[in-house]
Amino acid sequence: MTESAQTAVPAPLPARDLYRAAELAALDFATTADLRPLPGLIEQTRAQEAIGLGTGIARPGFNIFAIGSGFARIQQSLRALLDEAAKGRPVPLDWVYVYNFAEPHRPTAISLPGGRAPALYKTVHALIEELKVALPALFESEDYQKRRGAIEQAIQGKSQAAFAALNEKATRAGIAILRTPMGFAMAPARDGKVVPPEAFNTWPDAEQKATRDAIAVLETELEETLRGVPRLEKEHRDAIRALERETAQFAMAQLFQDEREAFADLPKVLAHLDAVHDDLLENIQLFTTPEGQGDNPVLNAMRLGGTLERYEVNVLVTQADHAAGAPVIEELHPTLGNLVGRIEYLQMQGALVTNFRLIKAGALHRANGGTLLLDARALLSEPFSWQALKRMLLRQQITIEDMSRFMGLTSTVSLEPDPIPLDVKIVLYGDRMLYYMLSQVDPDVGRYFKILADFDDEIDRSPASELMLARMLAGMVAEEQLLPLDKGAVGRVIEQAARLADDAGKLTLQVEHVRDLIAEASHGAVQAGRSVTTREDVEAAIAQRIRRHARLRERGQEMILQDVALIATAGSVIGQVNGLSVLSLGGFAFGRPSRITCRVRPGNGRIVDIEREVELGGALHSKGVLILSGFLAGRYALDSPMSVSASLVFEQSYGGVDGDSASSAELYALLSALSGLGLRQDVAVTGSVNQHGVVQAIGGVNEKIEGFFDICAARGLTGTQGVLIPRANVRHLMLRADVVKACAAGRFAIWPVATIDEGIALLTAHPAGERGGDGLYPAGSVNRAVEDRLVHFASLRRGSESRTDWT
Amino acid sequence: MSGTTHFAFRRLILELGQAPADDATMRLAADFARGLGLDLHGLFIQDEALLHLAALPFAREIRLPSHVWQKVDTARMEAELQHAADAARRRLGNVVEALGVQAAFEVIRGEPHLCIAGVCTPADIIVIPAYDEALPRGAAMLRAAADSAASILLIPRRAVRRPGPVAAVATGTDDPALPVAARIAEASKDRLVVVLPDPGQAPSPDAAAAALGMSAERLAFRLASGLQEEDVLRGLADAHERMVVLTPAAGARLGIADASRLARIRAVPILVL
Repeated sequence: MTESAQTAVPAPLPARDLYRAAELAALDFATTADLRPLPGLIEQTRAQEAIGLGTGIARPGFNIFAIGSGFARIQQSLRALLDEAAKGRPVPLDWVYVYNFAEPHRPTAISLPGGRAPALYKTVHALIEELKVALPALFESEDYQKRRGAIEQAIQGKSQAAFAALNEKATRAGIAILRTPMGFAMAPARDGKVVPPEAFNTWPDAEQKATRDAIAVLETELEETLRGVPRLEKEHRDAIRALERETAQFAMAQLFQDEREAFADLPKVLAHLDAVHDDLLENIQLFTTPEGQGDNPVLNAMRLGGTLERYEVNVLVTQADHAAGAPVIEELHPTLGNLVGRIEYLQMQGALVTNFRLIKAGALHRANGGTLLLDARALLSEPFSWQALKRMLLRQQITIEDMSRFMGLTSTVSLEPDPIPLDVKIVLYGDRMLYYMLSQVDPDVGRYFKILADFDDEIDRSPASELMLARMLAGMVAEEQLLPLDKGAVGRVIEQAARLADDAGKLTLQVEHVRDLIAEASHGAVQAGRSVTTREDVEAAIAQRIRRHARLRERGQEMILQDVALIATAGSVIGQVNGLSVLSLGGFAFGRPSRITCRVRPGNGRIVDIEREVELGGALHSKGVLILSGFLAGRYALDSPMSVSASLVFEQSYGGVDGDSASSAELYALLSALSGLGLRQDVAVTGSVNQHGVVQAIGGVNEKIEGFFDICAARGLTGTQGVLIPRANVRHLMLRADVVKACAAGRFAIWPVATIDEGIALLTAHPAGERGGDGLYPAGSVNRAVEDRLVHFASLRRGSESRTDWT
Repeated sequence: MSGTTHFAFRRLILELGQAPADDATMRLAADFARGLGLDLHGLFIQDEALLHLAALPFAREIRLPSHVWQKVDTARMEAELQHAADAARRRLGNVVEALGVQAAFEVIRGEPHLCIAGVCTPADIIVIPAYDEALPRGAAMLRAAADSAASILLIPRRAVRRPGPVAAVATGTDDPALPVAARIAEASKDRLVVVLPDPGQAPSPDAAAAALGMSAERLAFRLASGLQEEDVLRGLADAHERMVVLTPAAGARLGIADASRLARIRAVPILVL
């Protein structure tokens, strides 16, 4: 649109343009109970395609980052889509950790076909339980005892024979061999009794010497005999161990054979069973020692690898519970341990102890071979988790990391479990701002999350989409076990969904708001004793919600009605206009009129934005004000320097002002001040403006209109009051019923304007005026008055400058 | 060994000085005492021969396991005997505390044979290892126990602790010592298997069970060709007994050395009445 556009005063919008009702009349349903529920979200083609691509590409890095509005609950939709995609994928592997007999601190990870890990656990557990019974029984059997007794007798016989021979020799020499508390000694003896020293001293010297010499000789032989004892003991131990092995091997053979057959297709399992078999043979005493074989986990953990527990199997993750397809796991609390798994410890007598059975799976283990769904905000809020996840994706393996160890906070014996190959699809979800910020600071986002699934916040409104929303409501009602909604209630919710979208032609997909609304409406219906939720219940829920949040709005309106905050709703004032702004606090937005004033005088062409001067104006607001200079300079007194000095201010504004939605209002105030034509105070204005005077769309149009309407209604509607809005905003109108009703009755009006000329004509009751063939605006027009004033200022300025030069 | 046929045991004497008992033996003895309601009595005999030895000017001992010769004297021998007694008292205390059994402990000095004879009464059972009589001390201890008034509980070095019946070796179903075996079996709710020489006709378990005050299902007889060691071993074949009771008459036929060997072969305690 250009300056040459027609400048006729716009007509008020008809009531049908102020609110778009739902079109459900043609649909055949009485309540939502008659509708087939629609799972997940509707009309998310873009996101669905992205997720389809992401789940279909089995390449590293093709993970998905799903973004959307914080109120869209996109994880629910994601979950439904991912569940569907997972059905067609193969069942992933089970993983177990077993004892590593070669390196006990590095537990071995073994994979099995999905669902078979519990069978391995049960088989091994049953085997050990069987051996606990069978081996002791075998070792107590008569046959075994006979053989053992024979071995002991044979070997003890050698030892005893040596001692007996020595003893006999000593006895012949009149010497007794004595067992002392610490060893052996020899003493002279008579009749089998040791000779007391007083008796020995009475012996002749020669006899004493002969006895001592004999003792000296025998001591040497005793020493030789004793030196042979350890060798005999070792021979004894070896022989017994060989017997135990031979006996145990016989008992174990059949048990292990059965077990091997069950896992014959799994070489790593067979290798482990062989290792268990060999270790059992080396440690048969574990079965013959009566103590320490209980099921006390504390004791077992304390005896790391020292009990039968080391033969057990730690089922880290199994697909036994999955009927088919790959798992979809959602981890709501992605701490490092919850994400990558952890090694737990037991505190025993001041020490922390662990073993391979205390290795616990993380979400990555459980989702391996499938999909892991994570809340990006939760993930980033947990120390180390984000970095750890990237490391796992880079290495494509899950390594259990204990940050407290890396940081030196713990110093105890720990484990280094085998890493497990990682094949998982990570799906992060979060709001858009988080994604954009993260992408900016961490280039790895693009590397590891190549698929962006952007969920729309709203969809185009059509009978088809309204029906889909109605079916989605049916799904919510069923999920939340609410009262069904009748057709009127569904229509009102759909209309509210359009209002939430800030567009009569759209429907919001922020389902959390919708879900809350129908929950509150259902509650109201229950309170009223109804069996279905009606339109009135929805209306009441909306009204109550507004009431709960509207304390600040009411205080603001009260101040205006008491003339504390000055807002005129009648009359005409030069350089003064009612602008409209929106306050959004705690999820509740409401409109509020603000008085904008302008003063002009000859000057150097500068328009002073007082808000900016005192640093209450934001950048966008300042931009809007600067555009006004461009508009003036481009339209008026083209052959003269811009010689006006103007000041613009939001009166009684003590907080920050931002956005450019008041720039048209500021321009009207400026034109009024320049032209000397008063502006209607019963009309409020919103809309931004460009340098060509075209009025542009703004946000929050409904709240702004309702904000001014409330003031006017409180003072009494005169039939002349109304709001100027950008024409581009007409499609966004979803006004409150009372506003629509007043407009329909001609007691209030909404005027759509496309240009400043249209607006100024309505506000001043003077034509804007178009530049004629003579280059002048017509006399009596607003533009002529403005240009004349600017030319006058220019002449004043020129005169002033001449005088200055002259002087 | 007592020749009486009436048994009213009061104490179980565990000799700890001459053959230091391991914890398993202590536990076994304490269990046995608890089962029969006997007072457990730890006895530590300080052999006076060692003090005589220590008083000799040339006395020395080879210490184990270092195999180093070291001179001994009376003071040190006294101290080491006291230390050994204290250690035995402590270990016995630990075992009985864990099992909740009361125990007394006595240290006496003298010649072991005389000490045992002096301490033991017919109301006692003395616990000693199932020695091999070929060893000097083994023969002496077996003889000392056999000569005492007490009954003897022989415990092999590696006794198998297993659930199973109590076996009794008796001269006949009317052996007056069988009630003792029945009482031991009753205390642990086990069966009683009686090995006895073949009387020519099968004994009646019902009558014998009634006489012993136990149910016939828990009583079984095994007939042996005699009461020599081989006969008894054949009679006990596959019995899986947890202990054996030798009645006085049967014990007299076997002899203490054979009884001790039987305990080692069967790897179970043998009570020689």
